[in-house]
Amino acid sequence: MAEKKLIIENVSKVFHTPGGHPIEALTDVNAYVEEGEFVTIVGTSGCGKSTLLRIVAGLDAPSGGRILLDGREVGGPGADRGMVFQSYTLYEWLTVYDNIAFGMRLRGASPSEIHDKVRFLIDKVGLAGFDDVYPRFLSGGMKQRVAIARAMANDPKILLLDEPFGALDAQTRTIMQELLLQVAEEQKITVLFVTHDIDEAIFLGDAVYVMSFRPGTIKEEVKIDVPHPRDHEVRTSPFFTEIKRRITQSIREETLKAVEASDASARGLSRRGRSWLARLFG
Amino acid sequence: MAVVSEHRCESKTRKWSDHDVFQPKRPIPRNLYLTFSLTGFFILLTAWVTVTAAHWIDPMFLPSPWSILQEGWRMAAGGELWEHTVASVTTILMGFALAAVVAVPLGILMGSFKFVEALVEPLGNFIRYLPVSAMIPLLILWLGIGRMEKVAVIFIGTFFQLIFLIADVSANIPRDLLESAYTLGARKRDVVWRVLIPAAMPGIFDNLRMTLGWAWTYLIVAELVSAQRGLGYMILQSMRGLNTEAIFVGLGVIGFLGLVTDQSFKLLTRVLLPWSEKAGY
Ligand SMILES: Nc1ncnc2c1ncn2[C@@H]1O[C@H](COP(=O)(O)OP(=O)(O)O)[C@@H](O)[C@H]1O
Ligand SMILES: [Mg+2]
Repeated sequence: MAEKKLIIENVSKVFHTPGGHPIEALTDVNAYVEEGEFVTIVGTSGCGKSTLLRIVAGLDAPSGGRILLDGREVGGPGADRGMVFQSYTLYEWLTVYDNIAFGMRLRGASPSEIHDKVRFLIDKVGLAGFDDVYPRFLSGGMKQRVAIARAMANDPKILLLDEPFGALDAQTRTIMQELLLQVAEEQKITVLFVTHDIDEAIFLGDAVYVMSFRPGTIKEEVKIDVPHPRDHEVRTSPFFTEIKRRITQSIREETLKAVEASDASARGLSRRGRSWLARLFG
Repeated sequence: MAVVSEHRCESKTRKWSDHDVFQPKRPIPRNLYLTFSLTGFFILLTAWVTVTAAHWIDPMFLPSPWSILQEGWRMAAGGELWEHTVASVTTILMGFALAAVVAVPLGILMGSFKFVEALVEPLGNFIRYLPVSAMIPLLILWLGIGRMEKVAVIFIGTFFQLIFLIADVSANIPRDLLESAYTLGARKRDVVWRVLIPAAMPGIFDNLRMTLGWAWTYLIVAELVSAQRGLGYMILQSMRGLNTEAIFVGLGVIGFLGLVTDQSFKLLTRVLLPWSEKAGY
């Protein structure tokens, strides 16, 4: 068995909102990613995926538990954990080339090293010829490709992706999934990828963690024993369909919980609003 | 299938014309647009010429366009128009540059750091809602009626607006943008200099352009109250001398300068921030 690169150990997170109940976003989350493995986490919207990934990135501190990267506890954000966000986070004032070079320049890499690496990554993500283009001229899919290359330029120990293709149309999304998978296979990078899209989670993952909603925790772990390189035909294989059916069922229960919770909070709000009005006019 | 599609073709649809100017929001060809714009000017000018030529209005109240042009030419040739214009423009540039130089960094700090916000906001809000025209008498008392007073009026009028506008710009920079930099290995200082400030630039330019427009208003008010030169002073003197033509010349010059500064700012944005949406295509 390969070495455990990233360990998420009993992580919990409570948000204290002013004047409201504390929100228990994560409860005792345990998961791990092996060296060179592509792990996906799938869960319904609001179940705590982004919160978990932000804690792994070091952007938020856990309320309990810890994150271990190569056996060392993670304190804050760092270049050893590259992250790609769902929203477009390219630096508009930098060209594609300079966006990708951003991290390398920060750590003072030599110009020739930067040049080689950036040129290599631009080719890898299929953006040859776009070196000097500003982000506002790029499509959503191209922007996310630059964001992936930018995170990879630092040679991070693990690449974290938070629904990076969530804003793309369905066709572009599948193309992007294939591209990411191909790059990850070739470069043998370790990836933790978060999504609400079950298809995406299975297609990309060597292992899929399914998250539950309130408590936000790992509900089950599914190994996806489909060898690499994978191509798009995998998506329609009987094996894939069967796993998809299972995970869909599992997630559906959580989504129903989430819908109920939001209904309840809307009812609560409207009740509060009414009593306030009643006091004023009653 | 065939039946269905035939049926559809029969339904009563009129073909839409490309030139249907009465259809809401429909774009019209560029030439047509230009024609309408010129027509607007032409209507106004015709009405003006007609009214003055027919002597329906006393030229003391509304002189003819031609006599205004003549007066403008005379004032330009005599050098006085130039003198007043230079005086006003210099004062504006001084007051505005001073306000911008202090307000831009302070606004960025205020939008980015809560403690600066707490330090500046309550006080700034008080002064912001105090019309600067109300402070002119006090400023005259302190600084006299020379240039310093005008510079102070412009500074106070724009500075307290600018810090809030710029604080807003910097506070609205998406959190993800800053955090992505941390995950790329940036330290706090890098995030401020390499992400926050460049990201705020287009918004800052926009607000500078807007407040520069207001600066004109403050300056003219200050010059109308008390001055020894400047376009506002020139207009006031023309009124006293019943030289209505000169009043119109002054208004024309002020409007023209406003247009020029606005356009130069747009040009500056295009040159300095070519990457920004605001630079246009
Ligand atoms: N900064 C925050 N303050 C308060 N509540 C938060 C905060 N961030 C997330 N939450 C809450 O935590 C839960 C999980 O959010 P999130 O991690 O964004 O879910 P997901 O990414 O799976 O959609 C949600 O109920 C959300 O409202
Ligand atoms: Mg999320």
